[in-house]
Amino acid sequence: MNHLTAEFPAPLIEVRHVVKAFGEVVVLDDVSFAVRPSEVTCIIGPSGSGKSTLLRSLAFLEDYGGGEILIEGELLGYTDRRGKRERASEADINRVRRHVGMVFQQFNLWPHMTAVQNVAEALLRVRRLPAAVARARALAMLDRVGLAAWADRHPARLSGGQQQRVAIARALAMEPHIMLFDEPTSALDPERVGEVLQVMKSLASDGMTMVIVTHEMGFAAQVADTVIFLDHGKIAAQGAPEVLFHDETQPRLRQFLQNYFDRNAFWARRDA
Amino acid sequence: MRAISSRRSCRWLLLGFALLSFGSGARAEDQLQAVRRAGELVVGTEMQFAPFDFIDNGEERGFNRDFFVELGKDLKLRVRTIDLPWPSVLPGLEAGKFDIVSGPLMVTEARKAHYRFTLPIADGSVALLKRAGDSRINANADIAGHIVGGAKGSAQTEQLKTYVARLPGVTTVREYIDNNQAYADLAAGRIVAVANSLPNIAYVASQRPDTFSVVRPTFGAPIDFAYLGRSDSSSKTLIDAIDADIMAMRADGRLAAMQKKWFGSVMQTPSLGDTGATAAVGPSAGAAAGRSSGRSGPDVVHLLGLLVEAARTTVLISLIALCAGFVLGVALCSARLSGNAWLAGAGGLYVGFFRGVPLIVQLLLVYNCLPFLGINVAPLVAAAVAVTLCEAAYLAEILRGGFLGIARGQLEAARLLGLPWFATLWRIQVPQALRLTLPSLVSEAIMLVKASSLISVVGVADITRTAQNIAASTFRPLTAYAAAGVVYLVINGALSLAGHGVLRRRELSRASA
Amino acid sequence: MSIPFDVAILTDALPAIARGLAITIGVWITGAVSGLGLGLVVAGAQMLTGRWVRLGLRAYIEVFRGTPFLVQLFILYYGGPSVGLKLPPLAAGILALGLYGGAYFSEAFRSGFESIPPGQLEAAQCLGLSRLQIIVRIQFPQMLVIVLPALTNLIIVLCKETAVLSVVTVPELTFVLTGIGTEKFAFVETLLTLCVCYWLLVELASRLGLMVEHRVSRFLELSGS
Repeated sequence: MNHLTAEFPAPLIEVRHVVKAFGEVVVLDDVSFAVRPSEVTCIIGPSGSGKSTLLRSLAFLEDYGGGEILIEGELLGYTDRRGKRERASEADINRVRRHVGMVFQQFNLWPHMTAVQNVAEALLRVRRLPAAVARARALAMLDRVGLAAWADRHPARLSGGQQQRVAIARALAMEPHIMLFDEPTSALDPERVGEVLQVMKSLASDGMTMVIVTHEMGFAAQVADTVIFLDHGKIAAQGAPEVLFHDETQPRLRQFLQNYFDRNAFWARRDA
Repeated sequence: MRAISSRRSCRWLLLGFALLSFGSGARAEDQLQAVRRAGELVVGTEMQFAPFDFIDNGEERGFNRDFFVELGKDLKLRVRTIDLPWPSVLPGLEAGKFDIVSGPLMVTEARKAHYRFTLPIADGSVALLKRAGDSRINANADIAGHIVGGAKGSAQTEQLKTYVARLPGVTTVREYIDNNQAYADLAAGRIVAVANSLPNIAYVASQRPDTFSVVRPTFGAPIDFAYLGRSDSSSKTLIDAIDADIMAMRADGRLAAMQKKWFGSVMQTPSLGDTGATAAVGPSAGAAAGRSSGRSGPDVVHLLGLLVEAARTTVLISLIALCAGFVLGVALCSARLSGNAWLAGAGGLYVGFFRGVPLIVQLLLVYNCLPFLGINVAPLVAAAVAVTLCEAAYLAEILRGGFLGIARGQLEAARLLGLPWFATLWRIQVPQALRLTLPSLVSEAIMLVKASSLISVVGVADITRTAQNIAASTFRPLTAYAAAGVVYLVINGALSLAGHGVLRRRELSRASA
Repeated sequence: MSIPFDVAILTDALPAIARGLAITIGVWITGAVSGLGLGLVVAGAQMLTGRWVRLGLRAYIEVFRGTPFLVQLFILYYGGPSVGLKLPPLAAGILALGLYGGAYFSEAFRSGFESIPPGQLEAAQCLGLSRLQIIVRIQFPQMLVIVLPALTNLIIVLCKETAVLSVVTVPELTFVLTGIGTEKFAFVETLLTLCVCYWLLVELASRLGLMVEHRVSRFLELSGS
């Protein structure tokens, strides 16, 4: 899980002037930012602001109309052939995003497979590891997220928090350099949220580069290196959480955070 | 008020039905009188029996038509011909669907026991048709060990079977639903010969001399061709009248002229009591008699026109089955969902039967067995009834899902308001079930149009039967059936679009609501 | 008018009827299996191939679902020789059943494939699984359970369509019994026998289908899905 921060001071993710529209509606409007190795970036904003779309674009689950997304220096999703931009082949897209792992709001585990089978599947099919090796590695991943004892359970018999942790293990098994989280705790009961956030915190402290779309302001305040506030497809504010959360100058941001001020006890604490 | 009047009308319906079945069972009236009163003689036959009966460019032509035109003039009657697949012809006569069978049929002892023949009108001895240039078959006995064909249920095929039984080896006799399918398979090389009466195969050979040729001589005993009527006492006067007219036509030379026109030469046919018949040869005159078969390009536009006209029958039957089947289906559905165990059981039985038995079997059942219950109706009506009964079962299943989808509270509210069950059914349940099941109903309508193609098997002139006739007269089966397929695609495409349109409108109205 | 019924006609012809029944079942099973195979391939191909192939497959599905089976049979059997395809009745019947069934089965499979939540497919995509791997490992196992009722229904439909094969002289049950009926003028006995036979076959098929559904869902329950 250690990353080569010394050898690659260059950003792992570069988003340059990305534009995306669904028909007439502009969802991402000239978005630019960068994520350096081992950085934790949290993306916050009101619903409909384009947060999920932006995150999904980083995994090329959404294509984008204008601008560039570079993963470890390579253009994601398109090839520049003699000046014309064309959609890249499936193989090329997979190659560029092979070091990106994603965790979804709905977990998206495969219900007909057990937890360990879910985690091992990509190791078997994509990395083509022998069955015993894949299983061993999968078990190790499950242990990492604290679920070794539940390895042979099907997702239907796991709680939401456990399912999400299996999903994290599944993404981690492929040894990604970047982990993307799309509102990982929004679908969970409040009691279950903690166990998932715990795993994410430990990942961050191990040095994983993470981009997280979340509503958990406390988590963002504690763990994020950068917080991006997205509003109507534009980056309205960007900076370290201690700066951003106490910024008086941005009315939209203050309006958005007001919801959390009253309800979130962590808000007031200036944690590092 | 409405509930009471509906119950009364039910009673009238039942009474009418009883009268109908009772009334049509009695047939003691003199048939000639009945025909005279109706002003019309109804003739049953299969229009796939050139040169006696065939369809050319949508018109009935042949020896029989010419004969009956003359007969009609002499007896001062209109003549109407019904076209049926051969296996349905004799049953139809027995059931009283028509007055006489033209055919003509071979005079056999077995048939004489059951029916009454008119005087003979041609020589019906059986011969073999082979592929031109097939050097394996030079004499009748050469078919030993091969596969030969004939029409199902025909006396000619019986003669063939008797003949091959005496040949060495195993000769398979394949029975086709009509002669034209047999000729088609002969041309395709699946069989080596077709057995039929000499006039027929000589005609076919004359129309397509490069494809077919006749094997000489005829085999089996010489046999006459005659028309056929029922043997009961009430039919005697009719057949006597026809016999008298045949004698008249023989005397004044009209019969000989017709024979020459269609068979190429005059046939000696016995009068009352005589036996023996001489074979006729080479009906090239038949070719001169005009039109059809073997010419290079059939008029495609005209053929499409025929198919489109036949489409009217298809659409008509489908519409009737859909509407009447819907009403019956609602009744079945409410029976199944009622609390009553008997009703639910009966409904379930009905649905299970009509969805479990193939439609083609149901059609044959209704068509052939209804007469035994005393109900004699035209093929179109019998087909409509069969398809309706079948469709009702499928609709009942679809509607059942719709009915079950209605919130129970609505029925309770209706009951508390004192609405009678009939009103609740038709004003509350049915409209909602319709809305819920609309997509399924559209696909069911499409299935219905396709299933209706089976009515061709009981002789209704729908798209498929018309295509069969076109295939037979133009010898272009691929074109004919492909064209029929296109017509069906167009109808179903239109249904699909209409269905989408209705669904879209419903979505929009719901969205704006 | 009384309804005639002579059982002797049926008992005398028992061997022929048995042969006809055997052919019906044989054609039915062969046609259904071919149709299932073809349907699966077509459904899978629709998800994997490019625009033109997909268009072609769509055309096949629409044509075979939009025209009557009888017409398709006629085209294949009587129209075939004009383009050099001369099949004996049995082969033509099985081929026609397979093509007809394949179109319907492929639509059933397609809706099954599409009913898998897309999120699962996205997760697989992110992990780098190829399209084919996703279909085989993720969609197919789950889809099978979902489409089982639809498959059972279609198989029953095919059973009833085998009766239509009698029109092109395939010696199956309907052909044999209607032949006897015409020969001996015994319509009531033969047609009623036909009804009973098909009813039994269809009942058998639905019971079997239900049994398979129960077994599969029980298996899944045990494993926790």
